[in-house]
Amino acid sequence: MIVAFLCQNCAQGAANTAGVQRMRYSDEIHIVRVPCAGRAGAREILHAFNNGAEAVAVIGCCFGACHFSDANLITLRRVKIVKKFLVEMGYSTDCVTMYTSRAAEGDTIVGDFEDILERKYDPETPPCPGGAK
Amino acid sequence: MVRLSVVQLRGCERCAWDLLTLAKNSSVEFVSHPLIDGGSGSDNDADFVVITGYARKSDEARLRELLSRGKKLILYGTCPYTGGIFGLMNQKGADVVPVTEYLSPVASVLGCAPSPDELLSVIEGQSAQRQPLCSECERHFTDEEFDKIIRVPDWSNREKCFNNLGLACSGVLSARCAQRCIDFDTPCRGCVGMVDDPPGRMIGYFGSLAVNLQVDTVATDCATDRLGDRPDEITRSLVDVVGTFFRFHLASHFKFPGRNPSTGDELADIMVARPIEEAPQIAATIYGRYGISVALNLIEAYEAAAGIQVSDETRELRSELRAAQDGLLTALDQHDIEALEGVIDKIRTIGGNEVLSNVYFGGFKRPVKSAKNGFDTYCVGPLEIKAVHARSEDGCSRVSFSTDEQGVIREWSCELRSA
Amino acid sequence: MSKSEKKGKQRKTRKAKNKDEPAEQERPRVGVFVCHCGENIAGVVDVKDVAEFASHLPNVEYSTDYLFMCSKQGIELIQKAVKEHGLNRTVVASCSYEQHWPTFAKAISDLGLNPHMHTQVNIREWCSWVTDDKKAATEKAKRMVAAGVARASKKEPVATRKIPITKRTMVVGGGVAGLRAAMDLAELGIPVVLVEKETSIGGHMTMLNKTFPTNECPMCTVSPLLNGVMSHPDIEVLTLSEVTNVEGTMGHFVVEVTTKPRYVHDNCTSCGRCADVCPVEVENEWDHGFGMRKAIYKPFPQALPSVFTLDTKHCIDCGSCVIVCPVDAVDFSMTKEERTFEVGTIVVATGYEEYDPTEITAYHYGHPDIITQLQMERMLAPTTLTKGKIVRPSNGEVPKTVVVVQCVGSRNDQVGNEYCTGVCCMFGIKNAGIIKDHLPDTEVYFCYIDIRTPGLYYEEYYKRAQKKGIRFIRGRPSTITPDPTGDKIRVEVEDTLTHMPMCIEADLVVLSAGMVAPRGFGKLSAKLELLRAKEGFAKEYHVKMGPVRSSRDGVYLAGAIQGPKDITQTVAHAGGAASAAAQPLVQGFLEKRMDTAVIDEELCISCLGCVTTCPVGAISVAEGEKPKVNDVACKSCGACVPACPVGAIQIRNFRDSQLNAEVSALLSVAAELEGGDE
Repeated sequence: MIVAFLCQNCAQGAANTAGVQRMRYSDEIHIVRVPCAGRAGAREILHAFNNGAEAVAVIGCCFGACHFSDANLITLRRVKIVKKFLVEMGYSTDCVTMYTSRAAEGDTIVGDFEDILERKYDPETPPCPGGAK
Repeated sequence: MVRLSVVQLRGCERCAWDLLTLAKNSSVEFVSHPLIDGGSGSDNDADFVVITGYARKSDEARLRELLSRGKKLILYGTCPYTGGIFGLMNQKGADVVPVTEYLSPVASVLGCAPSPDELLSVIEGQSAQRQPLCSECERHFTDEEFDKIIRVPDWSNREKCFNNLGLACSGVLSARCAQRCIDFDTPCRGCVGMVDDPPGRMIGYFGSLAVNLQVDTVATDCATDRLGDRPDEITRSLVDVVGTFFRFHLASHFKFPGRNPSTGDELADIMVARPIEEAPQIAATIYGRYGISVALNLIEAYEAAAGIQVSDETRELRSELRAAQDGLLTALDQHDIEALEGVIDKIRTIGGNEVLSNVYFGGFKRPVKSAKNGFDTYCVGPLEIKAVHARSEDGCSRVSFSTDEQGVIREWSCELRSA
Repeated sequence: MSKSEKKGKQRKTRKAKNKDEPAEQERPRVGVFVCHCGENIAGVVDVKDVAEFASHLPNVEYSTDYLFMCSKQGIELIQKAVKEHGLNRTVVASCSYEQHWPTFAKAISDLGLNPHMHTQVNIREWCSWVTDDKKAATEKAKRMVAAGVARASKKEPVATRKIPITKRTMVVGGGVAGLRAAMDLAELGIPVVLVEKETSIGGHMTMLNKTFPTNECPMCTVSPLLNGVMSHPDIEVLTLSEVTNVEGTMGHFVVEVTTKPRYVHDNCTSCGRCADVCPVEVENEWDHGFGMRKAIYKPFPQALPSVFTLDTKHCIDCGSCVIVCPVDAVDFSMTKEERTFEVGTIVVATGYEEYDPTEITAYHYGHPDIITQLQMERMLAPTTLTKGKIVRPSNGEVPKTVVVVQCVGSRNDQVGNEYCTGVCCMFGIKNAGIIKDHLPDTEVYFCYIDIRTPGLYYEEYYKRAQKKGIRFIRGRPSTITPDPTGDKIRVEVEDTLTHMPMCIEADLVVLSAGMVAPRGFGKLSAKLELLRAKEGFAKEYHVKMGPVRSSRDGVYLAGAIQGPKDITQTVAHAGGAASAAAQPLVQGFLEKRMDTAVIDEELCISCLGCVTTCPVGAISVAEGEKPKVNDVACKSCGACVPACPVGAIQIRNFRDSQLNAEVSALLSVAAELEGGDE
């Protein structure tokens, strides 16, 4: 199960657009609505892992186009620290990543989903905490 | 009269010997204490069973058995509550667990180590009002983000909060404690967490202040950007996320064992991957009754290898600490509680606290009351971080280790010499 | 995480719980309503199974499924269930939050419940529409519903506050869309600031020679509106002006407008003596190469405001105009002016730009005899150099063969414009017909891919053109090449109806270039924080139900900036935008949902993490006090929540406890469902 925290602007918009355009993505992706990527901090990501998430994605607006000024850039730093934590623990850096998307383009978010899946199943990298590879 | 039975699980025993100092208190009686009876005493008459130390998964049966006796259980120290500093072993695949996985206590007294007086007030039913640590800190908050992450503070700036300076300090989410590392220019690592998720909240807070740091991003196939995996300012300057943010909470807040190889030595597993500037205090903590010797050997080994000069006064104070080390071992061997109290006082006077927050490379961070000369003769200087192979020994321990370019311990061995 | 909850109780923390955390409300009684959405959901998701599954979830008192939850019957069903089962929270598993949360929230608020006790679960866009596998989709829908129920159980009522707003609107763009919107707003008694970046208002419409399907004169059609806007007491027209900064939110925007100097004061009587004496003559941009103007000029005689403009780029500082001006209006000392306006709403009507065919190298646009439709319009206008005659620009001769080429820059993947402009067929037919009317002996070819003439009288217009003898050829020219040996232009095209490759030797080629988003809109959209579609136009809020709303509250779209439109559609769209922009202003206040950030002062340690982090500057702190949230400025993004080391700041309905409950429920149900399979 992959938990994807989607901001209410670009990311949820892109997920809606992807649905309207009948794009396909894995049902392993589970969307959790957040007002902004900035709402999803280390706590939320670690909580998801501790409860069995195999990978976590935080998806917001494009850098420089956040609907809340630079909130997504703050998230970027927080997520990077979590990434480093996982690497220090011997897990894959791929288990958590922050992505961006554009509301009007469903393929941007489907691309993000595919990327996190691809990383999760990449046999070349160490596994994620909850994920068997 | 309260009858206490002390159960020491695994770990450094500091909490257990601290508790011994309650013995002279007329209202407390130890029906069982591992340092007096080697754990052979019976807790049948005990009003409370006080649990200290950390547990591993294999201790489950013992803990369940403890619970089944229907005694009122009190957790004493951070270790039983979260796995404590020993939870860092999990980074190398160990299975340290909070004992709360298996039993529910009536109260917990947090700290590494806490003050035995706190246990008394808990027993007396006074739920001590926990005040935020920051309310007692001489530094103050600003609304500024930092421009870079630092590892060693500028000893002359005692104005701004460590976090605003770029040095993570968990004081923001911790309560007042018995050790007060912050009084010795030592950032708090959160042994008395006041919140439900100290590491997650601390990363969120510190990460928010890191917004000016350069971070790696890459373009995706859809011409959007994502966070990159390459090293960047954040990963390069935060050398030990586990030890900084999860110092006392790894076992309780990340339920997966780390996948790093174990060295085969539990305590070495804690030391490896720690940055040199954090290592003395960690060593002083985890090596328990030999903590002073190991921490001083670590410091002196690094000083020798890195070419850091120390003053005679510093050497003098350190030798006093070594004397306290010998005194501690003797007092514990002979169950001499009065001597023990004297030694603990002595350690606090010179080392700042029981985990030696005042002792550092090149000198001391803050004035020591018993020093004969002025503070300028033994104050700490700048710390150069470099790769070294270092070794040092004294009558109690022999330490050898090596650090990498970033000053992170990569190999560690420590041999203890029992008296 | 049950573990952490346990901890909260055991530990002697100062306070186990955030104070503002809603006081223990009455026990949650959740109703789950699973929508079929016709076949949209039920075709993939086993909705009955999901409803059955939901009935066993914690706190669920009632669950059912229905064909269309958003229908009147569906809403009545929900209301009936709320009353009969004493529900205090509802979960509707249907479509997106944006689409129907308001519908169902209103349904329960009509019964006296707080609207925020409704939770929307999107099992259509995020589940049934993205999965083929029925079993997987059903399992996913179950997980989503379980997460939604957990979230609903933790939700808290949120108040709505009335906030007074600034009763004034800014319209950006003075084309027909902006004019219509400005006029409609002003007629409602709302003061309007109209910002136009050119020297005069009127936009593209005033450049046109005739409009379809009546072949009326556009200037005659639009001039009452132009004059009306200029003279309206509630409309302030700012020409040569651009929006340079936008702050604030709906109800209270602060917009900075920069006005370039005109070097001629408003007392200009438009007598034209200055232009008579001006020694500099340059090409008139407004005429697209078919007219000339002086360095002091009006782009066209009827231009409004009726004031000349001095073009300092070409002016040689001879001072003749200053000398001849009878009213001393010419003033070289005028400088750039910056003004700030407080407005409640903003209408964006920046229109379109004609596609520049230079990009399609095979068409050799740039050759004098290969022109665009907008150039054709100017050639046909009586005020230009050609005096309305159709000639070959290269030599002034009457063309014997004219080729009109459709879909230039539209319906063309190679240049990145997949869309159909939708207007070119009509204006192409119009101009082909006018050429044929003017020059009956000239052969007019019309190369098209498809003829698209939807709308009343459009098809009829097309039929009339066919009867005029225009030769319609179905095929897009592959190359349009000036003949190196003669003065003809060779248009190579395959007539796809007869599969005949043809080569037309033309004297004049008219390219029906499509409509694209104006250059420079990127800058404006960034200032307004508007989403743009990948084609560059401003993205509407909803393609069907919100075509005049932009992605940002309080900013509305009028006309072609939302997508290509003809004049009829533009005027209608602009009227819609005006009424949408007027609605909150007429009401006089905004309803602000208070699902904003709240600080528990007892937990707060004044570390200022939230103050530093807040991206909209909504949190401030006074000396010696705890930080305070400005409810009106707070945009509920929640970036402050992870920045707080003690969890003192929370967003109502996105609190730590609420978000964690949702994730925990999701993952535990996922594990359960997976376990059940084995």
